[in-house]
Formats: sequence, C-alpha cells, structure tokens
Amino acid sequence: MRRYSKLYKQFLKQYVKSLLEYRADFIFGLVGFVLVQFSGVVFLRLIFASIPSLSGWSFHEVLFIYGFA
Amino acid sequence: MKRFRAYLPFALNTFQRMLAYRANVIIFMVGELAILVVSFFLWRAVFQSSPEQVPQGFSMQEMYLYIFITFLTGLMTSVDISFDIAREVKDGTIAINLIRPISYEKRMLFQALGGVLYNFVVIFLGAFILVNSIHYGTTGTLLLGNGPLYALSMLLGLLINFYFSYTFGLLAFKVTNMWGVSQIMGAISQLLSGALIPLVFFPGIFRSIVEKLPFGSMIYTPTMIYLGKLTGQEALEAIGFQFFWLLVMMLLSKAMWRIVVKSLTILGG
Repeated sequence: MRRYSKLYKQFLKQYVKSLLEYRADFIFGLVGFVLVQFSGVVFLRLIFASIPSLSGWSFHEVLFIYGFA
Repeated sequence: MKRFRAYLPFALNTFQRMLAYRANVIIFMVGELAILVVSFFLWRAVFQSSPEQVPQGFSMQEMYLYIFITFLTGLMTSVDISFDIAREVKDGTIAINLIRPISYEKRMLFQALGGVLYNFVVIFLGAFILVNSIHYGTTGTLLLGNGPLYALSMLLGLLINFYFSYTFGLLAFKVTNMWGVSQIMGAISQLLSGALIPLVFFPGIFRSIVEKLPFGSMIYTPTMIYLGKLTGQEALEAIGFQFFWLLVMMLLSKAMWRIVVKSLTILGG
C-alpha cells in the first residue's frame, strides 16, 4: 500500500510536469477551466431566473449536484 | 475566380477525408445526439415547472425548434480551424506551408469550407427537413419564408466564426500548445453564442451587452431570424451587425498575423 501511494505521487508529479511543459498554455488552461465551470453556473442561474424550481429541485440543490459532478 | 482555383483542392481534400473516416463521423454524431436529447428533456422540464406559458416569449414548441435549429446552425458555423493550425505548428509542417506561394489564411478558409460542405450534405440537409416536417406536424406552420435571410445570416456567422478561430489559432505560433486557449474559446463562445440558452434569457443590461458581442452573430442571430423572432427592420439590423463584426474580425486576424508571423516556435518536423 505504501509503495502504491508513493508510485501515485510520482505519477501525479509527472502528469503535472507534462502540463507545465507549455507554460503559457498551462496558464491559459487554468483560466479556461474556471471559465468553463463558471459558464455552467451562469447557465443554471439563467434558467432558474425564469422558474422557481425545476421539478421540485431548487437552484441551490442543483448547484450542489453540479458541484459534485 | 481564377484566384480561388488554387485553393479548391484544399476544400475537396477535407471533404474527401471526412468521407473516408465515416465511423469517426458517426461516433461524433452519436455523442452530439446525446447532448441534444439531454437539452431537449431539460427544457421540457423547465417548461413543465414554469409559472408562465411563454417565458421570454418562447413557447414550448418554439423552444424545441430553437434547440434543434441552434444545433444545426452551430454544426454549419462552428468551424474550428485553430486545431489544424496548432497541429501544423506541433509537427512542423507549418514551415513548408508558410514557404508555399499561397495565402495561409485562404488555404485555412478553404479547408474549413470543405468540412462545412460535408456537414451540409451529410447531416444538415436531411436533419433540417426532418426537424421542419416534425415542426409542421405538431404546429402546422412552416417557416421556410425566413430561409433566404437565414442562409445569408448563417454564412456570415460561419465567416465570423472562422476569423475568430483563425485569430486565436494563430496564437499557437507563440504558445505552441492549443489546449488552454481552446478551453477559453470554447467556454466563451458556448455561453455567449446562444448554443446553450437563448440570449434573451440574460437579464436586463447583460442581455443588451451580450447581444452586441460577436458571439451572438455566430449562432444566435441566424437562429432567431429563422424562428421569425427577428423580422423586417430588426433582421436587417442584425445582419448589418454581422457584417460589422466580420469586418472587425478580419482586421483583427490581419493584425494578429502581422504580430505572430515574425517569430515562430516549432517543436518537431
């Protein structure tokens, strides 16, 4: 088990390194990732602006699920 | 006309390549269809729990039509050339392609048009007729009168989208990898082009800002013209706006080209 957790750490390190390889792109990617998530939330907000609840689901409940997914 | 003759093979090349990899296209379509079905049921649930019959002036039937028409319009106008540019930068073929005595911009445009032609022939025509006949079956109205303006608006949307993606794609000359930039591009244009939700759902001031941005011109404007939500004076104004953005995007892409072409980082080749 210890061995695997060590291995995992190594693999994770390598993966992040491969992303960091293109530095400018990595930063763009971080911004992009936030934007993608943000646009999902905006979409939900816009829908719930015109309806109080979606088949019994409130905005905050759907947001909770969205956060988990 | 003769000037374009040299570029025609690029369009045909893309067209034939897409014909050759048929399974790839089919799997792509299955994925798209799944998203379409999800948004169909989502909107149905929205309408079932809506206190008003027609939120923001959209009836349920119109909303269904909106989903399908935005999908088809998006299929036609969402040319993404930035990946092609990034790939050429990555594998080094860009060096040869820049030396060739042809315009890089026109070559990319024709490559994109080949893909559009394929989507038009293989998917758009059939699906468009199907969607319209279902709509006719349920509501008894046909919107074909809006067809010509729709086609014009869609063509403009396609060109705007091309120059947008081309301008961003040229960034690949500098950043060499396209993952991050395309992430940003996708997020912005998905939300603001009307592909997710009609722009009229945006509240007050945001709505008027979003409707003025170029992203709305890509998918939202043609769709609204087809649905008959924009008619007469309004439709012409919207198309005028599309012309304006097309011009801006073309100038932007020229400026971007001038900046990036001076130094180019190539990884392979």
